[in-house]
Amino acid sequence: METRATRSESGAAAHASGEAELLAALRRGDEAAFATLVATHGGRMLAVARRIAPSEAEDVVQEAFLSAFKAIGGFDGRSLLGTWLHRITVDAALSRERKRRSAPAESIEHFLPQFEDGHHREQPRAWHGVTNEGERRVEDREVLVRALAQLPPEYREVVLLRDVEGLESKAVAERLGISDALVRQRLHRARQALVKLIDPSMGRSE
Amino acid sequence: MTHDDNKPRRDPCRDAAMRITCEECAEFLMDYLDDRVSAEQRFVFESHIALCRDCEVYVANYQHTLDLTRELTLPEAEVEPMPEALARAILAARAHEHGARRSAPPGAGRGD
Repeated sequence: METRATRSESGAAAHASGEAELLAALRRGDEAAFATLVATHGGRMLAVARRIAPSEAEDVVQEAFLSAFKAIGGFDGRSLLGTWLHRITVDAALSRERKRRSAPAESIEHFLPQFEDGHHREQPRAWHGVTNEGERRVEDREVLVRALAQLPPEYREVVLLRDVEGLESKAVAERLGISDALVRQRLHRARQALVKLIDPSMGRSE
Repeated sequence: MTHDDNKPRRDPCRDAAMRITCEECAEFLMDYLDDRVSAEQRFVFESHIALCRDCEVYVANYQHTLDLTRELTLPEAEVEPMPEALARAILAARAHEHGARRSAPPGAGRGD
């Protein structure tokens, strides 16, 4: 009898074999293979780009695909094509966001909690949302997305890579060319700023 | 910090709680959540949270914010299909670049 494990293994094997065939076709310059790659991965890449560079998401995806097409000969196949494309998309989106920063570095200081003699200057208020589910939670996520857009870009990119994309902090540090300690410092400040930014929109628990 | 002053003075949790301020507690929070603290630091932190309502609320709000952020990771089901116009534009741009490279005289271009 076929078990779930063997089905899963055979599914993975079929997927790997599909990837290998697609990769070989891409390297041959097969037009249909490029169309398949775009159709298969484009939607996810667009969603990723929208989170990081919402105003230029389609340009980001086009740039990412064109970079990928040029680099396909050097792709070693050790990661999945989707993972590789995801990385290219995130890099392209972050690069666009950095170029867009015409203003001097914004300060995050006014989004951080304030203390006086070591105590909270303003008493934190309990939110309704800590245990909420469903529609209210969807609204909370929308509030958070708007707050993310208000963060200075060097803080937003750390949150996106670490908390949204789930990279380890060392991998984030490598990607951004900064130290692990700086990643952790920015991440903590960014999270604190998000707490403050979403606070007015979070209902109060009684 | 909202402490209960009726607690006995020699309560070890209270003594530990007083070893850090709310500001230090907030600074320390990410390391605590990432389990990058010693057993003693954890005890001090948790003692503080147990006695300080402000910090208890702040930690809960921080954790909730983090949970919401992590939920932004895209489930496969929420990914929309690639817009056809964008797919066509990308393939046309590739064909254009490819054609330009093929028709370029030897030695022209950037060598890619």
